Amino acid sequence: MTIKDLVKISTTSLIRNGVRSWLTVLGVIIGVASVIAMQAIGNGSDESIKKEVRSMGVNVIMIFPGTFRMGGVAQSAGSMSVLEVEDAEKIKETVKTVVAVSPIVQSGQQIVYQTNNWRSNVTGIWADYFTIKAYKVSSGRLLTEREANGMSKNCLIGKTVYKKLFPAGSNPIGETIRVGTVPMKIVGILEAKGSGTFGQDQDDIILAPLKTVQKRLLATTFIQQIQVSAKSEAKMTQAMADIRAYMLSKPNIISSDGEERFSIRSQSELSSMLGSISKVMILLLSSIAAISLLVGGIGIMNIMLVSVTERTREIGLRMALGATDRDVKIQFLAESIMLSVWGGILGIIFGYLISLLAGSILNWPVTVSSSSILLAFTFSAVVGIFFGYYPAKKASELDPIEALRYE
Amino acid sequence: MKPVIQAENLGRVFDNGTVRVEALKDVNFTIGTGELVAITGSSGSGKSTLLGILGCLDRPTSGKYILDGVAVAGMQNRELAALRNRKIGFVFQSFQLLQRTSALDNVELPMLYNPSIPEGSRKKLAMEALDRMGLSDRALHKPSELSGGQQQRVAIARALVSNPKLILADEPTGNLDSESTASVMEILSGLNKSGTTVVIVTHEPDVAARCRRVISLRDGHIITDQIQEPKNFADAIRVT
Repeated sequence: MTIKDLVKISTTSLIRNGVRSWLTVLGVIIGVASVIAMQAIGNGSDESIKKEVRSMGVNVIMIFPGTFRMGGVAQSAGSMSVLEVEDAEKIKETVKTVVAVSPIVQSGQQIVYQTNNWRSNVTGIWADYFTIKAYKVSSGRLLTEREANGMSKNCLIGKTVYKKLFPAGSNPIGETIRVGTVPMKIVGILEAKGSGTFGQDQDDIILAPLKTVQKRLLATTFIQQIQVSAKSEAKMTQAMADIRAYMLSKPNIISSDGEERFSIRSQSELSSMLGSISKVMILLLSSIAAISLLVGGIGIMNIMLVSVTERTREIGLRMALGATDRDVKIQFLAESIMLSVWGGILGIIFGYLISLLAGSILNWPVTVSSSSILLAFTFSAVVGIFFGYYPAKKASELDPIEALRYE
Repeated sequence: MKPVIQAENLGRVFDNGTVRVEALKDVNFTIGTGELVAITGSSGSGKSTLLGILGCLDRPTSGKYILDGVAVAGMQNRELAALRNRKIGFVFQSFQLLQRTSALDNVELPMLYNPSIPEGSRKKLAMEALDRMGLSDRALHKPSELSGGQQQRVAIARALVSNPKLILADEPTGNLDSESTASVMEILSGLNKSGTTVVIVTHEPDVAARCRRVISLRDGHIITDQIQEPKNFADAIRVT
């Protein structure tokens, strides 16, 4: 029996039982389509999380005074003095794996413009901070390096602050607001970043030159944090090690109980945590999809068993005419594989359409990967072989004399 | 005369653990090339069991069966299948045609399992066989569109398409009216005259009377094995 004969025989027999074949194929279609769609949606959510992480900045490394513990920051006495502006300067000068460095101080302040007021976080920064956090303005301009690194009284405000202080929507550029006790001039509005990973409003912010915030608002020389942008994602680990080496070279950096008085964290730690959440989600969705494929396979087995019983006489006849047990087995296997492969092909098409639809509804970058198509297709063919084997074996083991007499 | 069938002390016991049935006991006979033989007996005489063994669909539990020089007893299922395909043409009482499949495709069926026949010549051979049965104009009809006699002739075409040594017919006229019976018997004896060995299993005395040799079975063994002058069917009405 040639392949052509096999295809012809199984096609005619499937077409003869049209409705039945379609319903069986439908089971596989649903299974394969859900594998494809779930993979695509899972990858989409992963991609959207990655995008969110990227919005937090470019290869960001954060240096904090004190040691991170579960549940919060333990700060020993005087730990604030561990980090100084000088450290930021030195890191920028000596660590070759970083491209941008900015010390940071933050302070909650009452902001007043005419009759409106709002409490927001004022963040003192260097101009490098815009690079690190990928900040852009939606109107006006960013602070120049001279302004940000000097004692200028110009500042940038986020969308939320703008809405609260300028409810009428008038142009804020050039207007002077009072931050705490200090009058400052608005030079730009930051492009909206939306809510962060943990739901905080990333637009409720005022960015001002570091020195201005330190000297005028807080009257302190300390900084709370240094943020650094590594040269590339690949250089992250090296950059963290370099920074650590620099920090350890500082005097008095190890506390009396042997703990380092600073900690270095990176954004990639956060992104890998979020990534593992989305992996769990993909796994969950994929296993649901796999179960539906399994159910589709059971449908194939069921219908093939019915088919074998119905065609007992045909099997007996074929054997009498010279078909071997192997010929019979292959014939029925071909039918079940054909069912599952057609289910696979149509399922891939449907899954692709579902993914496109889901992508446009959820506004995620949903992508159907070729590997998931290959996986779904292989899986459906395997399902056909696996669930078709038992009925085919049963057919091949029939006794020709009894099969011919079967009514 | 070279023997096609040699049965030596054939025995077949069915044993399902609780019941033991001796369906065939010590059956001996030889059928030579070109013979037309009827195997008769009432139901339960063992003729169906014997047919199963002669058709290589079953194996004897004792004794020897040699088909066209090949000892069947120790063969694997796959070898038996090949033997059936090359050496035997079956004709059944209920025709055993695939429904919803054209006469031509039905006749082509045995060649699917014979790799020595090239795919390209199958249709031609099948058509020739149908032509010999006078059915070339019905090649594309399905069995349900044919009369009983025509269906049996399609089945005979299928049996002779691969040029078998032996045609085994199991009650070939059991489902036919007398006209079709005459026609089918004429065809079978015609095939016999052109050299094919034909063995007909039947319980109809009419059919047996038309064969030169009649082997009668009862309770699993041969009671008579006689040569007779077959009735002539020259006056039978040929139905096409």
